[in-house]
Amino acid sequence: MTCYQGNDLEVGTNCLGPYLLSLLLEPILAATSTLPNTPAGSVRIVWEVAVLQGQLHKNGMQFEADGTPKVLTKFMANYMQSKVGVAWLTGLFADRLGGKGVLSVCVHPGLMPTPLQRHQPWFLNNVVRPLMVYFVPGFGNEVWLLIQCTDAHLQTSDQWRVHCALRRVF
Amino acid sequence: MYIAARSQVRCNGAVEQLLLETNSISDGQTRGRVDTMVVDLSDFNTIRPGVQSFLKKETRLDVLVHNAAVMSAPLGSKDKQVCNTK
Repeated sequence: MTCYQGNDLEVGTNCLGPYLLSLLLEPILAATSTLPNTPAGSVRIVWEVAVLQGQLHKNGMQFEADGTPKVLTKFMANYMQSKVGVAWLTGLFADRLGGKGVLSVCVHPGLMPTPLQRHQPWFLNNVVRPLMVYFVPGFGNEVWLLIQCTDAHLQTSDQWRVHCALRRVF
Repeated sequence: MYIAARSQVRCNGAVEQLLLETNSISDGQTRGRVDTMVVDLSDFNTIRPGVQSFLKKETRLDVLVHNAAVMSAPLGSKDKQVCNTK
C-alpha cells in the first residue's frame, strides 16, 4: 500500500470530487436525455465559477513538475485557481456529453453571503459578509434557477457559451 | 429534487429550511418531492456509495448542480484522499 498526502483541500473539494461525482452520474444523465418526455437541451450539469478568476496567472492553473496543481498562497489565489479547474471541467464534460444530449454549463452567480466565507479573515467574515446583503445585487438564487431551467436557444453547450459571451459584452 | 450534503443531519437541515421557505408559496398540490444524498466531495470514498443509493431510488436525473466549494481554507489543508492500495 502506498500512502500519499491528501490533495489540496480546495482543488480536491472544488474540482476532483465533483469530477468523480459527474463521471458516476454520466450514465443516468445521458439516459435521461433520451427519455420520451425530456425536452431537448434540458438535461445538464451546472458548474459554479467566479469571474474574479480574471485576475489569474495567464495560463490559468500552475502545475508542479509531477503534474499536481501548485498550492498558491496569495489571498484567494488558490480558490481562484480551483475555479479555473471548474471552468475546464465544464468544457471537458461539454465535450464528453454533447453528443449524448447533455449540456455542461457554468455560471458566476454573483457575490452572495454564505458560509463559503467562513475561513476568510475576521473582518471579511464578521463585518463584510453580514453587510453584503445591503451592497450586492443579490440575484444569486435567481441566477441559479435560471441556469437550471432556461431553455432559451440552448440546445448545445456551445450555444450557451456564445450566449454567455454576448451577455458579457452587452 | 435531491439535496446533497456531508452528513444526514446537514441534509435534513437544508430540507427543513427549504420547506420552511417554500410552504407559504406552495399550493399544496404541485409540491415536488425532496430527498437527500450524503456525499462529502473532499472524501472520494463517500461519492460512489452516495451515487449508488441515488441510482437505486431514481430512474432519471435532469440537472446536476455543483454548488459545493471550499474557499480560503487554512494553508496546508488537505482532502481525505490519503491512501492508495496497490
